[in-house]
Amino acid sequence: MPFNESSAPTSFDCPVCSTSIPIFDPSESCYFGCAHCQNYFYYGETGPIDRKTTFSTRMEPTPLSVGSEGYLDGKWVRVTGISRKREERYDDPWLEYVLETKESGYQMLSEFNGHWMLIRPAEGKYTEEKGKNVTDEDREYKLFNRYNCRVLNAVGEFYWDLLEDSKLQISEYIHPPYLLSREVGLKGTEWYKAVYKTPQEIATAFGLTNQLPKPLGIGAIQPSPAGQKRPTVAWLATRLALLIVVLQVFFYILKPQKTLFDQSYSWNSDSTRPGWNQPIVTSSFAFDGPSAMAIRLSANVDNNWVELPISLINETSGKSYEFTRTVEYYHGVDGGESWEEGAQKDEAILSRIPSGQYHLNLYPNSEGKNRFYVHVTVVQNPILYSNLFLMLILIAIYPIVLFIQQNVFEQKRWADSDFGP
Amino acid sequence: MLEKLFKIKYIVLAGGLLTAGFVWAGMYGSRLLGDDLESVEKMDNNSFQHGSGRRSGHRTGFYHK
Repeated sequence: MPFNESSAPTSFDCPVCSTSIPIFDPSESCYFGCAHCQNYFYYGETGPIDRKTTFSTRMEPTPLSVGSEGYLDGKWVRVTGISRKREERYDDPWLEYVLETKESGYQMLSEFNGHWMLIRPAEGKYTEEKGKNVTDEDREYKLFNRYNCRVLNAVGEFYWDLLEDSKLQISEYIHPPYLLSREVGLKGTEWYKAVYKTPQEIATAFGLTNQLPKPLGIGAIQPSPAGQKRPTVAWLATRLALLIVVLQVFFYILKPQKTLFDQSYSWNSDSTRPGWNQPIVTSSFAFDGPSAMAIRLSANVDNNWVELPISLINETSGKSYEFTRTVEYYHGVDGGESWEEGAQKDEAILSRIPSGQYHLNLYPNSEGKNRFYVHVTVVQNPILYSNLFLMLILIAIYPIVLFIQQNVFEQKRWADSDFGP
Repeated sequence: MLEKLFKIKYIVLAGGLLTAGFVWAGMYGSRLLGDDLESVEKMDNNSFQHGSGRRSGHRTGFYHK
């Protein structure tokens, strides 16, 4: 039932069907809708009842009924009237609940597709800028919708003639979770400010035991979950990125790069004689680990390649760390344009190499008959740029995901608007 | 800010773990993404003697012009 008469101070009988209609605010209310016969009429203080219209449809059960009391934002409110409206152009209806308050006159609750908003008269003057935006002292609102409405049904009491609402031109400007509504009528312009409310907030406010319908789609001022998280996540991500860079500098100071070995070797190759290639064996060097080791190689290859299978031998433990690098460099002129590919140097970085005495065995091989100079440099504690960049990428992933989610959310929101950006 | 951070506590935890991983990798010289090392082998007593290394590297697939 749309009526809860228990707390009504007085009532009167519907002049058409004699159903008792409660009155909660006799001093202000003068328009009434009967839930039984769908008649809507004016009831003056002394004058006769003037039937204004009979709605063609019956008011379906609503989540809140006339007389429902609750606490919104900690303030007592009571539902005194319920109206069902739709835009002239569209069939989808919404519900508006008139809320009586103790301190600040009347407020409205609006519910569309399970999305709720609390609407209060707005103080101050607002002017539309650039034909689409309205700014107040806190934020800028973007034009989201402009429409005329039709009243489909009304029950309870109203302090204004609800049927006059169909003569208003309504413009709605949003800055989720806020909305500014401008209503232009014959009597002038009025502004209202709304804030989004979740079904849970409404259910808690009115002590509803039944679950309210889940919101469908995206509400005009529904806050984006990703957008709500984004500022905090961005704050955290920038601090973490800064910390990572500071830690990298700290490692650079604590474990500085050190060249342990730096030497050149000449090497003759002849691929026509299998087994002829001789290995290069370096002198030994001490390594202080566990740490990363960089082996930098350069060779004077020219339109050729040299493959370098390498063994890093720990002379104490006998462990052999195997890896292969290839130095290749090609260049030429093709169709009047010069080109080059590859480089005369390459680098291998080995992780967590333990302390010990080491040497390198290199087993070069190449194509044809060549004489190469191979330069070998071993560096302890090279800067692991890949770690730094990997961390910065990982830190950036979630903010980027939130950014995309927020944009998708906003696109869906604005898909329902004729004034999308 | 603490209240806001508490709302994303799992993200804060993930960020802490990432930072801890970075510190560990920095202290031990570990590459977090990829490694040029192909294999580690234990050699016999003679084979790692200076100047007597045997070829134990792996040929990689190789393309050249």
